[in-house]
Formats: sequence, C-alpha cells, structure tokens
Amino acid sequence: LTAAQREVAELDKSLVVDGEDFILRRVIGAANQTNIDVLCRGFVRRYKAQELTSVIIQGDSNIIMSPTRIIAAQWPGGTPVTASDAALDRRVPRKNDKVVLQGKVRNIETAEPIYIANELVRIEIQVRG
Amino acid sequence: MVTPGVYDLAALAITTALTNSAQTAITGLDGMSAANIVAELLGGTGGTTIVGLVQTSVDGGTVWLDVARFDFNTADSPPTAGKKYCVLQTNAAKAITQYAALAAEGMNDGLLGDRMRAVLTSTGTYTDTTLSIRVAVH
Repeated sequence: LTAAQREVAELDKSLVVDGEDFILRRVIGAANQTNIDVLCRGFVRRYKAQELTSVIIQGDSNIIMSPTRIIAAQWPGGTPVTASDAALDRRVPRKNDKVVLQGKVRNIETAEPIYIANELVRIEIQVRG
Repeated sequence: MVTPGVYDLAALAITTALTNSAQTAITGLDGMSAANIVAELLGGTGGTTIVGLVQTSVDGGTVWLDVARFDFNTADSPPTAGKKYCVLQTNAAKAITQYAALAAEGMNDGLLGDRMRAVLTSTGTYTDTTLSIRVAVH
C-alpha cells in the first residue's frame, strides 16, 4: 500500500467504529430541482467557542470524511466536460452543496481536500444550519 | 464490476441551446449485464427540444456508441411525459447487427461496454428546466 492508501484505509476503519452516516447532496436546478446524493460517513463535531471567527459561527459543525464512498459512487456523476470548473477535482464538495445529517439539511460553507502524493485522502467540511 | 448501483449520467439545468454537450463518463462498469436508464425532465418551460443520448464505449472511451436516446419536446409536459426509461441487457445472445447512430427514442439493446456517458442537445431556450439521466447498473 502507498502512504495515501494507508491513510484512507485507517480513516475508513476508524469511521466505521466512531463515525456517523450522512448524505452528501448536490442540488441541481432552481425552480425544478433534482438531487445527486451519496451516503457518506464522517466524524462530526461542533466548533468550540475559541474556534469561532467571522466565517465560522456558532452552530457550525466540522465534518471529517473519507473520499472512499464518493469515489465508489462516482459522485456527482456526469458533469459537462467543457464546464468552466472542469479542471477542479469534482469529487470535492463545493460551497452550497448540502449535508443531510441527523435528519436536518445543512449547507456546506467550505470543503477542504487533503492530498498525499496527489491522491485525495480526506475531506474536511464546514457545514451550517 | 466495481460497484453495482445507481449512477447519475447527467443532471443539469437546461437554459440556452446545447450542442452535443458531452458529460463526464461513469467508468468501471465492466461486468455489467443490464442497465436500467431513467431520463426525467423537470419543468420543461419554453424551449423546443431536448435530446439525451446515452453512449457506451468498448475501447476505453475513444469511440462512443449510442445505446439509448431520449427525446423530449414541447408536448412532453412533466411529470406525465417527462419521465422515460429503457432497459439494456446482455444476457441473451444477439444476432450480428449493423451499428447505427440512434434516431428519436431509439435503443441499441445488448451493447454495453465498461463505461457510459450522456450527451445532451437542446434547441430553444428553457426556463426552470432540469434534466436528469440516471442508470441503475446490474
């Protein structure tokens, strides 16, 4: 195994024990919407008071997740090859994607991918709502 | 096959006209024996026609072959006519068949490679319209 594969395997193993399930959702369309969902698993925790800033506010949560389920589901599916953001890593959630956690829909404010040797090994998400 | 399941071949808001807008492919489907494809038009206000073409490849994505074509026009008001589906299977032997690009609402049954993608074409300008094409791979 490479270092990146080991990292993902260890994260997946600990998520099985201590993580919780949530749905990662991209909403397509405005008036008439369709959802692209994938069931994920992550560590969820509220930010502590000393971590709050102008962009991290009370009630926000941090989710650490593995890319394994996103990659397996090939989320978010087919996207336009010629889209202006086609060069970005489309496996990484974007601002305003949603997380359905404990039955509540929350908004993704930021999603930070972490790579080891160019391989996506972890995603840290800030959600609100 | 890596993961049997449901994949999104396309999901996007349709506004101005699209000409053969290829979507990124769903790959790793080697070993699939059947595919249920569902195309759904939501909204459908304005515009003229939308063609959702589903293709497969047997050479790693160099040449794409049509397997199903979903046609929507102004008479297809959702939700009644806005949802269409087809089934492609490789379980039964097929006679030698001349390949041909698909005409409206056509399908090439039995032709499944290791990847699939959607190619979208639309005419006219739509408002509040979303197209979704999903495939359940077995």
